[in-house]
Amino acid sequence: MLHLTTAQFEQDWNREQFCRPITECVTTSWTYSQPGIVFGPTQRKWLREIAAKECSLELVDRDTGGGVVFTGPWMLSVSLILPAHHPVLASGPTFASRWFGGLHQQALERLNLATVTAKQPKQRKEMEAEWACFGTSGPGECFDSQGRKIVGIAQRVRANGTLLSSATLLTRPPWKMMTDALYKPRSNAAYLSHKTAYVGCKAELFSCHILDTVRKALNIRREARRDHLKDIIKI
Amino acid sequence: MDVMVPLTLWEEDEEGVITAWLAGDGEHVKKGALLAEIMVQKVQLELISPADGKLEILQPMESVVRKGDLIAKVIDN
Repeated sequence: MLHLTTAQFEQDWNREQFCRPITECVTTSWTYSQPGIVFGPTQRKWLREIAAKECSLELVDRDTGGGVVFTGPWMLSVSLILPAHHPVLASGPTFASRWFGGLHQQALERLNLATVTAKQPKQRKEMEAEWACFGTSGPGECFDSQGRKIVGIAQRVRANGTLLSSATLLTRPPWKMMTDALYKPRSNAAYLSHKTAYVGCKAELFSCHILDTVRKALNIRREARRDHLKDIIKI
Repeated sequence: MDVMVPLTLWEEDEEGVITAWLAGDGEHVKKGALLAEIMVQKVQLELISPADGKLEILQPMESVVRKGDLIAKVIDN
């Protein structure tokens, strides 16, 4: 199921999943009707500072790790909730991120886009925009043959289950809109533009491929609908 | 009782950051209660109280930690 929604709705949905017993795997995808900036757990003070300056973009905080994510119609996100005892989690969070990244790699291959997944984060010294998710590298994240990032992955591990979350660039984001809103130098936007690539397809199509790949890997039964491309909920 | 960053919380020898204390310094906590959250390599992890008692925080929020670091104590009272 693809939701056309806001970043806030996605984060609320993610949080709600932990408020009840997690007994089965649940996955869904998201794309966004408007631009939004989603801050990581270490960036909440920064979020409050930007919010105090009356930013025109949606500002949201999230509970999964990592840096700022710039959501909008250019992005497709996936949430995957796994019960705490699930075998994918048995080898630890890094393995789980790599496994999740591997599924994205498979889905991208179905669209004839070859990628590699990151094993270790790069040295921080190399990064100009290390405050941004797409300015950094973490386990399982996908890069094209030129080392440009396409998929970001983050995770939240709780006692009753784990949330794996991904963000895939479908088209080129207007990075300057984000760096301007955050009072960051334009060179950061140029860096992000240079260091990222995108899938170049519609959200519906990539959603269909990635959710199908995830469900097959986990043997999750999908909703009884025949036409994937009509599986969009506008919220 | 010591509250340490478990050696098994994540695999590699990476540094983490305490992103939140979910119980306050001096607060009474129960065994199994959620005490803190730590972020490492884009993964947000939970730290659970090992015992009942009064929480004494030794490492504040945003401290950089490694596996095995002592970050708090839970004092039996």
